[in-house]
Amino acid sequence: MLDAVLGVQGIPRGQTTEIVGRLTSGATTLVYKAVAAAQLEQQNAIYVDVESTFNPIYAKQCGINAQQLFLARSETEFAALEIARDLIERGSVGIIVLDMGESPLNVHDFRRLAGVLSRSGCVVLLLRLVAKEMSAQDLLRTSPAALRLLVERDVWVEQKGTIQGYRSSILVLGRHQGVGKRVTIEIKADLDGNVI
Amino acid sequence: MIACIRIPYFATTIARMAQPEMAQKPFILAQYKDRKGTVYAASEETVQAGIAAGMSLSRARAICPEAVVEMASLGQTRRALDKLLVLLSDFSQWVEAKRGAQTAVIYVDIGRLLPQDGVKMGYQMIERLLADGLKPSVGLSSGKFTAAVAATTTKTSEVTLVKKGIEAAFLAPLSSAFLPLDKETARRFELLGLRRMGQVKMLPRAALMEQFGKLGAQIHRLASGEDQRRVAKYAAPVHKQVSRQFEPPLSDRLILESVLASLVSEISQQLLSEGMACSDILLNVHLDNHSEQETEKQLREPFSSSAALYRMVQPLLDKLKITAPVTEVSLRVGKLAPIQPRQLSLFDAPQTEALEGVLIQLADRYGETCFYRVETHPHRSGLPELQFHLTLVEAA
Repeated sequence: MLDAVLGVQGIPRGQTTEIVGRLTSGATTLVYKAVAAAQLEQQNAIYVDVESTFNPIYAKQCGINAQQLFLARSETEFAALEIARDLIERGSVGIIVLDMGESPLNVHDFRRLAGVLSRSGCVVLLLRLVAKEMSAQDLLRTSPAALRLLVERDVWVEQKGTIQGYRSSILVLGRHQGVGKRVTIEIKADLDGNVI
Repeated sequence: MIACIRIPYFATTIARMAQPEMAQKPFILAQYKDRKGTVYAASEETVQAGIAAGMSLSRARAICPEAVVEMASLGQTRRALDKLLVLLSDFSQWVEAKRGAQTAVIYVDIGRLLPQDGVKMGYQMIERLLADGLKPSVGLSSGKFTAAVAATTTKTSEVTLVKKGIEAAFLAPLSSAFLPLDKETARRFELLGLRRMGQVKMLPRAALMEQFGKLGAQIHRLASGEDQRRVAKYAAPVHKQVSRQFEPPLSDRLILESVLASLVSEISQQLLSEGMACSDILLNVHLDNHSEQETEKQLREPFSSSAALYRMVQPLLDKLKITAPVTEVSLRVGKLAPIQPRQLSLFDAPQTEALEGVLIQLADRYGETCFYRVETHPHRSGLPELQFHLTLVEAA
């Protein structure tokens, strides 16, 4: 559904896509699922983890092949962007996740990345988790990305009194087709613990 | 000659064997479908109180408030029935079960025996089943239907023989409710005053066919004691089993898990060496207090690899209520089928080596502890951080 709304059959290459949401909104799951989808298309993936919050077990449950994933741990946001830029310039990676956690972003630092990225076929996903609810205007004002996906959890999905997952809505913001549209996704775990 | 073995209150009897504390209590086994609870099977006391299989649980509770309600374990009942089939296959290779929650009905074709030998064999079967704690009754006849009716009308632990040629006379005074009538046909039978099988037999078959179609002809044949249906040949389910015994009994969960991992690995090697995969896993644990716990899982697709099987087995261990040290653990896999071949990928695997080379170069710049490879160990239990390991991508 999200692919259809974005109109480019998925997350665009050569641009930064920012995925923003509160904790347990589904933002991290969306990023992990995107990495898993890229790996299925035989793309190399690297996860740049600024706040050391990457969860390999959950990533595996989301379908990520851990053996084909590299993890980079940087101490600062600036170093994370430098690593991403170096990797894009060398052209050996298909998807880079910049997991910034709750770190504040410096829009100017991203401009250096945008130039290199636009000439490559690489996908950069910027994952940002926010402590408070964020409005679309706030996101547009503070985001350095070309496409922004604001993820908000709507309801917990219960079955027989047990929480099976949750339903989230994704607001698409940017210069792309489908701007302002909302897409609803449902995130659940199957009996084996795999996220579907 | 066909022997029909009828075991009433089968599911509840099996459940009571697993939970001896339920022996003296009125007992209902329930099942839920679409959040609606229904009675799957009821014990003798609750049936006498008016509870029947298929009744809604709320109604059953209203009728018999003192009844203890337990969730039905369909796997447990099925396994018990399978055990009976194995046991009865000693008498004949033609053994067939009609699966029913409330009453188990098993047909055994014992071939051309003299009537007295048939009765003798019937009592031998009863003896074997009584030893297992069941209360069967046996009917003997030339056809399945007459044998089943004979078993139903016989007292527990007794054998009734209906000799060849007198089937119709035996059936004639009995109620037509024994016939396999649907609701509408039963209503019409009631309106037509056909209450005994003898009355049905007296009617011309053509007239019954005209009124009820093919079912009418079938009913007439059965009421006349003509039943040509054969008993199916028994095919024992193929399964593999591995087990470990512990002396002294084991009380450490971590050791139990590692033993389970080795059992999974052993069974996986056996499966792979034969090119087979399994779709059913049964984990059985014997405890030091002489009780037994088992749980089963049907897999959505056949598996044979050790990692995939262990992922399925570990949640089964969590389901078991292990209240005493373990004396034996056994793992059984069933529903074996040949491994489905998978098509090889037409495309190259991602060039992780090339990326690793780049990361080694970058490690000089960003520090040796910057880039990692991720390894997961889902088999390990305990803290989440024990379930994965980060390996440094070493700098050149």
